[in-house]
Amino acid sequence: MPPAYDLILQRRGQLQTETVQVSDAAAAWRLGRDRYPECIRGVVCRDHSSVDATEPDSRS
Amino acid sequence: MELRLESQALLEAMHQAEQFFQNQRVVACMGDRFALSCLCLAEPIRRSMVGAATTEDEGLELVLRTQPSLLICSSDLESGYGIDLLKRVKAKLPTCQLLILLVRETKEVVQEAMEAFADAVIFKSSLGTGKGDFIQALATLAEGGVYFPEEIRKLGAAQSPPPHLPPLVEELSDRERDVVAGVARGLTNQAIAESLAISLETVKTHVVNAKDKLGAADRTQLAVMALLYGLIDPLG
Repeated sequence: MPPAYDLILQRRGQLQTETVQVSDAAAAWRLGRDRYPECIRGVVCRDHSSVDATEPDSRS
Repeated sequence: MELRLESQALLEAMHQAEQFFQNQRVVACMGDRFALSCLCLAEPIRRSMVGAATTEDEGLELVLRTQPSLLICSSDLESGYGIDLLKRVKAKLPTCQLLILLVRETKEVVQEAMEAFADAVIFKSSLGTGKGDFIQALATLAEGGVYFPEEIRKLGAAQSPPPHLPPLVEELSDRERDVVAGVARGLTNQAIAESLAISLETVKTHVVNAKDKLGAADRTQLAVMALLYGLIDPLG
């Protein structure tokens, strides 16, 4: 299964997130820019194998 | 300004440009015919060029016809306006990355370029100065990121923290900001370590400390809080 990324989107002055599964960060940015060209503000990798085990993920 | 043709930095820049452009299809649109010709003939980029034009309408027509991966555009065109071309290209071909060279260095123009969804914004005056904006922009685009150098961000993207946010108990260090910016660009800890030339353990420590300072429970919250406080600009 491809890694999960959170897209950080700015909508009506609020920052919201949406999780997508894509191959890498570049693909996440591409998807974000394609789908939300006016809103994309950031991309965060949520793949546990790629981040520190001491970094808890509150939503998993 | 003297362009230092024999400098190591310039040779490295050419090598990096060569690497970037080998898988690109590039359209260039500039009002300055001489600059456009030089760009199209430059060795690292020559084989990647699929079109070149000097007006907004020609540029759009070329983009639609050749479906490039990258548009390099200057704000000044023989007719039309470079930033308007970006908007039109983004609407028609959103997968095309957009790099614009700005002539006027005003807040209004910078904001206009950002609002046109430019992926990289560079002042024309920074070219050849050794600051490396052009190469850094290419490297960022290759990662799928967005490049706004420091002076651009200061003019166009400076944001104050919203008034409802409590003041930070402890500021993030410069390194912590760098790491958090990497997190918000979608990089893994390993990729952040490589990009900053620091160890993986150091990155992890910065992430944990930054989360503590911002009261974030996870990486996504960390990025969101840092954005809300205006501490980072992952588009930069």
